[in-house]
Amino acid sequence: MRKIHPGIACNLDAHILSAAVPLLEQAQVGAIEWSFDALFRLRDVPEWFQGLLQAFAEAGLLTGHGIYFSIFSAQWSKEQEAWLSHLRALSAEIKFDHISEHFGFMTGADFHNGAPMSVPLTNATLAIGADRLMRIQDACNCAVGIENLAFAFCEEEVKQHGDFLSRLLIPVNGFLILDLHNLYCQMKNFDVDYEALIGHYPLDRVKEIHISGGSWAPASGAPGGQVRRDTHDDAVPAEVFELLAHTIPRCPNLKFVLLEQIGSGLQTDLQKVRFRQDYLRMCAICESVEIERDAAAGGNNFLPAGEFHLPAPVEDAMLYEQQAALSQILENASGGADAARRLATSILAGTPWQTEHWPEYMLETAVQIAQKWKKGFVV
Amino acid sequence: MKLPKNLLQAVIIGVGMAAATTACDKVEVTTSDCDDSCKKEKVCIHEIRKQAQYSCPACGMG
Repeated sequence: MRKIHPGIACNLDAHILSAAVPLLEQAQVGAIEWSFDALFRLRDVPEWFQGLLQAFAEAGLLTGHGIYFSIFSAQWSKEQEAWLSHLRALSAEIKFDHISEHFGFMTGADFHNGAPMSVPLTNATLAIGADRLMRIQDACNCAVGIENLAFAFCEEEVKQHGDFLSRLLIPVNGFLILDLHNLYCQMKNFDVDYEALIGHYPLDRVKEIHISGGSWAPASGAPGGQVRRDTHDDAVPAEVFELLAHTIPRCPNLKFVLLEQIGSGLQTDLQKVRFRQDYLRMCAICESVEIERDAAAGGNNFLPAGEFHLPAPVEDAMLYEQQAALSQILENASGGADAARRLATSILAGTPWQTEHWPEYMLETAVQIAQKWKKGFVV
Repeated sequence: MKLPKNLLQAVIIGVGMAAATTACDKVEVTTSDCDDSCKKEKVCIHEIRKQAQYSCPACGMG
């Protein structure tokens, strides 16, 4: 049986690292995921952190998880070009097992600002996404994957997300990071069953699973009067552990299972203890559950058959205008109702975005997220 | 994974030092990162949160 490597999302963050030190001391950490593009303003990565990354890299246990590439931006940008150059140089220095990014486009007007939002699931967006994944693969020269998004504007989108990811990954022979807390958010926010969703995901392409905690925000109109948000700032819910135990056996190519939590949720000793308890519970599930590996589905190395021919980046001027209009509305609306009013008279009305079907409570959530991250993490 | 003893020690010391620092870093950024208050300058100094307080929007629901 092939081994699953449990690990942690570990950035240069004192709280995460201090929570993880006892696990590192006990040789409990089986892999590290590093968001290599999160340090773009920091000039010097300390030697000890580089050493930590390098040690995991040499053992084939370091994965790279990008945040800011904005795969579905419909206009190619010089910042994306720079991001790829950075990745190309970094990949020559440090060996990642694979590189992944997030689904969606960033709402911020400037690179490194905003939050990822979903896009219409059309052939036009599919072409953009596939083009960007090929460019990432060309830069890092290792397996490339994408993570399912927690946020969705409407239930229809939630039901189509898995199939769309499947179509997106085929041209690059990419893998899926299945974030189970993201799936949990969608189940709760649209009152959809796990079984109704999971069957649509390409589980034979899941190489990595993420689990994390989050928070509830009151939202009138939402199922149960609240929206689940993937804030990564609390312990992992029991239901997400159950999802993990149910999902692992169905993923024949699973290699990594990672716990994600942000530093702001790991400030007290109690929070750090709970993080370690969650981690060890995750490890125990990884050890106890057997994967149904069938010969036909297992053994994908997620590398493309050959080099890609990469002409000019795929762009879509109208989609870009729509993305810019949506970002502007979300970043400036006073709330969900105001955003809905603005959308009704915007260039997004009557388009594949189907803004007419977006419930107000999710628009309200989108407004909150876009405005929270409008300035990135600058104070 | 078992880390070499000297690396583990360096990590423990490094993390301890990072955790003890709470002030903001002042970091030079190029004008493309500036807002209206300083975009006329060639090089500006912005205060940004230390990585110790870093969080990210990656999940899309944060």
